[in-house]
Amino acid sequence: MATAAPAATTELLGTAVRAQSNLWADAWRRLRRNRLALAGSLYLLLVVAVALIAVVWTPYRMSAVGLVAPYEGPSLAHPLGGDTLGRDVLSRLMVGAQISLVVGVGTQLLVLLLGVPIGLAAGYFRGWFDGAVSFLINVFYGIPDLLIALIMVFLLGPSLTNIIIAIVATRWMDMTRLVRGQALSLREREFVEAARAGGAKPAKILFRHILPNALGPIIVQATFGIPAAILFEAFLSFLGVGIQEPTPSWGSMAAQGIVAIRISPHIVLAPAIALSLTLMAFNFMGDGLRDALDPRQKR
Amino acid sequence: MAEPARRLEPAGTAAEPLVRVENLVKHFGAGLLTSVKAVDGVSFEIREGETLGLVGESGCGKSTLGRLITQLIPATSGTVSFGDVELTKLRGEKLRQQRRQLQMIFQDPYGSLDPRMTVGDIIAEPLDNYGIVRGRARATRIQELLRVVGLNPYFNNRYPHEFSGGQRQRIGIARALALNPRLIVCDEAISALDVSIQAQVINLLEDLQREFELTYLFIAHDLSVVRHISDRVMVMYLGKIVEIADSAEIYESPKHPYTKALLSAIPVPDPKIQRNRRLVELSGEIPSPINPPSGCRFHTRCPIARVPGICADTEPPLEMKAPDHVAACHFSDEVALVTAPAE
Amino acid sequence: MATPILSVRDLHTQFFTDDGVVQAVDGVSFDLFPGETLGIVGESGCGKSMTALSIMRLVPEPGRITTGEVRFRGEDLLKKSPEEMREIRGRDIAMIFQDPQSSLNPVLQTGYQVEEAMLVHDKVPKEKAAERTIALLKQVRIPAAERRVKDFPHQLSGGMRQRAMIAMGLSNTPALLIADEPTTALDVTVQAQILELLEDLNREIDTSIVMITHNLGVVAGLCTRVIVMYAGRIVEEGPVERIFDNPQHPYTWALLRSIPRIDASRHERLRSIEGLPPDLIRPPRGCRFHPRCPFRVERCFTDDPVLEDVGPEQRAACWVTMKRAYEEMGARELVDVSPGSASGVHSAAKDG
Ligand SMILES: Nc1ncnc2c1ncn2[C@@H]1O[C@H](COP(=O)(O)OP(=O)(O)OP(=O)(O)O)[C@@H](O)[C@H]1O
Ligand SMILES: Nc1ncnc2c1ncn2[C@@H]1O[C@H](COP(=O)(O)OP(=O)(O)OP(=O)(O)O)[C@@H](O)[C@H]1O
Ligand code: SF4
Ligand SMILES: [Mg+2]
Ligand SMILES: [Mg+2]
Repeated sequence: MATAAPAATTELLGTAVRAQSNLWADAWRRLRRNRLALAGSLYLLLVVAVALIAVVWTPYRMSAVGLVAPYEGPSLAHPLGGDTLGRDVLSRLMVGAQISLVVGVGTQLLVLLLGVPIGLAAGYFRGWFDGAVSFLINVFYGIPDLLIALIMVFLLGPSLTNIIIAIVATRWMDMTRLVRGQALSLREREFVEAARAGGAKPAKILFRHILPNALGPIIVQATFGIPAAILFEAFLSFLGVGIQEPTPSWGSMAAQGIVAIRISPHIVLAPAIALSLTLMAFNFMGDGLRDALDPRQKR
Repeated sequence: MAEPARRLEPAGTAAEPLVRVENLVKHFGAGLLTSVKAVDGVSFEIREGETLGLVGESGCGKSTLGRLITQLIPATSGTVSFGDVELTKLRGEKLRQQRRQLQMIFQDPYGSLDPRMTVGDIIAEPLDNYGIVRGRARATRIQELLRVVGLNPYFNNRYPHEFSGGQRQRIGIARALALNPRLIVCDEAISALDVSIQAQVINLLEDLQREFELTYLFIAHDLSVVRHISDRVMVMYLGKIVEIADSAEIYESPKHPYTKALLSAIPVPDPKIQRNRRLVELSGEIPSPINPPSGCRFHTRCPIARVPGICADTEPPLEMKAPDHVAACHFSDEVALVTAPAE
Repeated sequence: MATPILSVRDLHTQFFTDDGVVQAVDGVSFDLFPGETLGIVGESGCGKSMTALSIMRLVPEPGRITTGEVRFRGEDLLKKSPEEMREIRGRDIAMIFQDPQSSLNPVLQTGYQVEEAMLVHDKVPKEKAAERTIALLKQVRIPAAERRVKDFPHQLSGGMRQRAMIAMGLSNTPALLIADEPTTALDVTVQAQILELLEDLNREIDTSIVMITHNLGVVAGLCTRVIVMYAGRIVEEGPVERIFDNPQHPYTWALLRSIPRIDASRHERLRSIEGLPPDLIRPPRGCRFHPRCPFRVERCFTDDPVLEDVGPEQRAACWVTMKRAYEEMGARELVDVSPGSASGVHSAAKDG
């Protein structure tokens, strides 16, 4: 073929062996080009940095009462003013970032760690395992979230870890059910059959074929789950079974401030704005990640 | 139940069978008490190094049969043996090791490629699964396979959606060739290709066959291609085999009226002939595999059927009608007389 | 002459990828008259589907129609709003897609999807839709249609899926039907019946049909005029008899030679066209077919040929054309169709 090489072939023979790229490398390349996702991740990095700094340093002691007059508005010394007990809101916000991030991200990581493998296995293998999982999901859906969380916290005691576990207990079903449904429909697709024909083992089919094709909805679900978990923790705090005073979380700060929303809105607004920005940042990142992982969006 | 076809083959002339299928049945559940009888008791052999063409009406169970032979779906009953190994008995890792020898080119070039994998990874996946090549050798092999099927080797980093239908089909072919298997089930492997690339791929398949003693089960609707590539041709109708014979023989003197009708409908690439052709008209609605007709399954549409009579009552066995030629028809002698209606 | 129902002018559709711009459709122009059946054939990957998708304004990302005009009943579809296009699609212009996934959703029942296709355009009253769905599925020869409407696409065989899509395409009795490889998964008897169905549609309600297919037998039976594409361009067009009997472009000629004859002897090597299909990011200079053309002359390397009259209503884009190839280059006796084999130009090309 090479002797009468037409233009096209000569060019081919000239090209060196090209490195093999894959979904993750391409996704990373595309993610870096997505401005919103970039802004979102920068903001989140900032929050993480603040949370880390707060471990060693805050402007004031976050639990010190009477540093400012209660309900006092922002000033130069206290940029975010004082709260209902006259504690420094900025310091509390910084520490609150720790708790809220750990609660939000921690629960979602656990939910993913639980929901993804269980959902994949249930949807792909079907059989008794699927039956058991579906039954459990329905049982958990039957009980109100609050009841589950309260029972868990009463049983385990209100530490940070236990609160995370309690929230996971209310949230794992959504993810598991979503992943199970995806696996259920993807297993019928011909490319999964083709992978089996090519000698792929079940674990590889699940994690290299089914999971990547289900990532879009999983990521969306997970990014919505983070702020939801933060809010649920706030609700628990509000009921007095969440993070215990004086340790602040954004949720508990907002919950406390809500009584004074008329006279000193800053007490609510500071954590609420931090929370909304975080929510938005996670959404931008989630959307960016989802698009980056879809080769059809290639630009 | 039909007799196993094996006993009908004349001894001596046949090469060693590579695949032996006996009384194979696949029923898909459909509703509570009904089932789709996609493959309903078939027995035949594929000889080592041959190409067995498989043709038949759309929906008659060809793809299902291909999937059963490669054991991608479990059989309802019956056996498939590959060499000395009974595939239908194997599970898990043992089956996976056998898969190396049995590859399939899938019918739908759109559905059978993972949309989230690069073409290079798709083609190399079987190699990775058995840990055959790594690193640079892997990349070289990918490019070699791409070139073999007539795609630019530097397409390796593209994703399937960036290709046209025919280009995707060639990716599927490259994947099936990657492992140098002994048997390839080609399910409509060339239907999305233009005739020139089709010719290239067929020449390639034949070269590989000569070189590596490859065996093909070649499922296709294009009867001129089937005739060209096959040593023997098998015809299916509604989950059953109705005829198997040497390819020249079956095209010249079919012994089943369905085969005859099929042959008369081949479109001819010549406008003057094609416009004025008469087909052996198959009257009546296509029966459903959920409720197949009694007796001979073809009797509802057969131009020579005796209804009421033996055709509606008794299922014709797959019998030897000529040397190396089996068919399932009570009146196979009359098939030659079936003609297209005159003007 | 009648006014065309569809007229495409200088259509360019390009994909903007990381590797460069893929010129999938590169200056395609043609007319389709009411009641006509036009066949489009050509090499796999030459832009047939993209031409069709451009007419429907359904080119996928990162593709874009960069220039051109698509006039349907005199109005430029490329200037329509997305809402207007949605109205036109399926109702006036229907398309049977090559990719089953772009019209069949894997998680919805097949019958429901056909019904939906009808209801969005309210051409069919709601009560009648279910009934008509079954009638349509019967018309495309799906056995036990009453039961099959409840099946999900993966439960159908390849050919049944294809017929379900045909049913969808026909559901609103469109004025223009674009069929992209509608019969690849069908056996010849069903294929013959489907073609008959299309012919009836064409005769009775004057539906114009654009038929994209690799099956030259189908083209011969159904189409009155044929367009041959290569590397994003039209290289030849003309009445079906002329294209089959007297092709003038070397690509058309070589394509027709590749058809396996039903009467050919077994295991004889099939003829094909040497070389790889062109790269549409960096298409060859001059005539795009020149790297693989057995009849190329010096000029083919540098100058781009345009469509010129080569016979009654027949046009081809070639500097040589088969007429000259027969007369001067002995094309009739040519067995080896490797590049430049007849004209001997390839040796010159290799040296410089
Ligand atoms: N997963 C499934 N569930 C239920 N029925 C199925 C399934 N797969 C196939 N069938 C049914 O089995 C029958 C045979 O299908 P198969 O795909 O084997 O046909 P085929 O001969 O390959 O047809 P074609 O030429 O149209 O591809 C059809 O009636 C089909 O609907
Ligand atoms: N998303 C994409 N990105 C880059 N290139 C693309 C993309 N989609 C299609 N192409 C290229 O556009 C060209 C035209 O594709 P098209 O689908 O129109 O081919 P075709 O003529 O229909 O071929 P076939 O007969 O194989 O279906 C192909 O070469 C293909 O590789
Ligand atoms: S003769 Fe020249 S112009 Fe004609 S097809 Fe061949 S290369 Fe192109
Ligand atoms: Mg099939
Ligand atoms: Mg196409």
